[in-house]
Amino acid sequence: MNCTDIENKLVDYIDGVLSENETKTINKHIESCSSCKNVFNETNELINAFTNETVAQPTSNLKTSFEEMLAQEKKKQPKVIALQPAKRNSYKSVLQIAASVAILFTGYLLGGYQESQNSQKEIATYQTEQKQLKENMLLAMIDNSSPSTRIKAVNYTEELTTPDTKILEALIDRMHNDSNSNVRLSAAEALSKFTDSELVKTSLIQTLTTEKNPSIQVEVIQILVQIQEKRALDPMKKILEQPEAPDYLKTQVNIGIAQLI
Amino acid sequence: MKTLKITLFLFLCTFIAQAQETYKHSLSGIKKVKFYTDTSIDLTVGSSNELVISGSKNSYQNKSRKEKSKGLKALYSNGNDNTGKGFEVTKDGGTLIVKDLESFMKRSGFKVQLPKGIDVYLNAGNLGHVKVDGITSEIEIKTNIGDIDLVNINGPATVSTNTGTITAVFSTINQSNPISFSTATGDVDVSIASNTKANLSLKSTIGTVYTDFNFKVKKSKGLSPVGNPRKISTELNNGGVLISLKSTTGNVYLRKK
Repeated sequence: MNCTDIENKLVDYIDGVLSENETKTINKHIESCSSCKNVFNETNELINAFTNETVAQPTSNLKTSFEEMLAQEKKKQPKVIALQPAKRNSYKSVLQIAASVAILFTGYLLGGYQESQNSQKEIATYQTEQKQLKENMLLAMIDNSSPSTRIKAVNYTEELTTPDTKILEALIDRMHNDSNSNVRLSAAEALSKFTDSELVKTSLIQTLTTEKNPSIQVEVIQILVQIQEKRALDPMKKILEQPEAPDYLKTQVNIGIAQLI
Repeated sequence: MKTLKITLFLFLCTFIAQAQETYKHSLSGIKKVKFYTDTSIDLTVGSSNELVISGSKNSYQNKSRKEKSKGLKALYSNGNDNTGKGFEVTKDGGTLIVKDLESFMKRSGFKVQLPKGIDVYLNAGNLGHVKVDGITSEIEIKTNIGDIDLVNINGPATVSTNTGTITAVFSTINQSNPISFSTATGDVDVSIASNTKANLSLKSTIGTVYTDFNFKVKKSKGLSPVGNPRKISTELNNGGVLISLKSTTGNVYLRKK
């Protein structure tokens, strides 16, 4: 063993962890080699110094202030609350499903309701348009040169529940002025459905003084008697004075007068 | 041989005489023909697209009188004879108007041939009757005391008379426009096929409605003490075009053909 090897094993030698042979060799070498003896002494001193040095204990004061600081720091921190996963209760999830179904269903109903409102509006518009169309068609047809077309137009008015004044005037015009007596008769019949209108009532009374066709006269008398129109009495009495009026017409007039009084 | 020649000659003579009695007018561009007369009209279907008027007897016009009027022109108060037959024929757009200028005493009826698809208006004045056979388009007829006899027609028809009776036999019913017959004191007698689709309106104010059809009549509510309209409204074979038959004092007959 040379000096370098000895120096490397000096720390282990001092700690006493080497084998007996190595310890005896190092003992003999240190006795004979002055330089290695110096290194041994210095190392021995250093290790002794480390071993003898006592561990510095922090004062109790320091300990307290540290713990206070820690507590203060803890207080300063915002409270963090851990999110607990919600308890999965079975009745709750049933409620949740029920609620979503209810929302869905309400949405469906609401949508359906709005849709039906819209479609009702659409139907209403369509119906008004259709009524307008029908009325225009009717007004065009009522002046047609073919008498059967005019009768068709007159009969269309029976489908109208509330014909406007234009239609009523057109019907009255047919009843008073049409060249064909069947058209005049049909118009009188159609007008009998709208006797709530004062316009229609006066026009029917007027027909009694102007119409010369007994079939139409009889028809109009029947309508006026049915609605108990007393103003028809005077023109009816005038028919009785007409020499050209046929007997059966006069009979009808007399029956009418009897029913009106 | 001689007798054959004579017969041929006579036949030719009558043919010419008949031809002379016939008046023809082209109907190109004409959709409707209107007749105004005081005598009876017998309308049938012809083969050509022409108006043919024939068979007007002149009871007062014997041979000697015919010679007297030779070279002269007849004058009428109610129009201008532009046919040489006592008719005034004028055109108004698509309508041909035939006006009979003779008195009903002198012309006791005439025959007319028309193509079947033409619209007709027949006004037989005060005394004339009307007969129509085979016209398939729209018919409008007006008489005062004359009877109206219609055969093989389809409608639409608008017929009115004061005291005349209306008789009609329909072949099939045109569903486009309504049929309406009315008479004040005459009867209305109509025959239609049993499968006809129609809305019926039958009414007699004083008389009675008769039929051999089986349909239910909607009863009017209760007994109406005043102004009972007495109108019978019903649908035939689920309904269709309106057929309105009315008589004020006469009866209404609706028959299965």
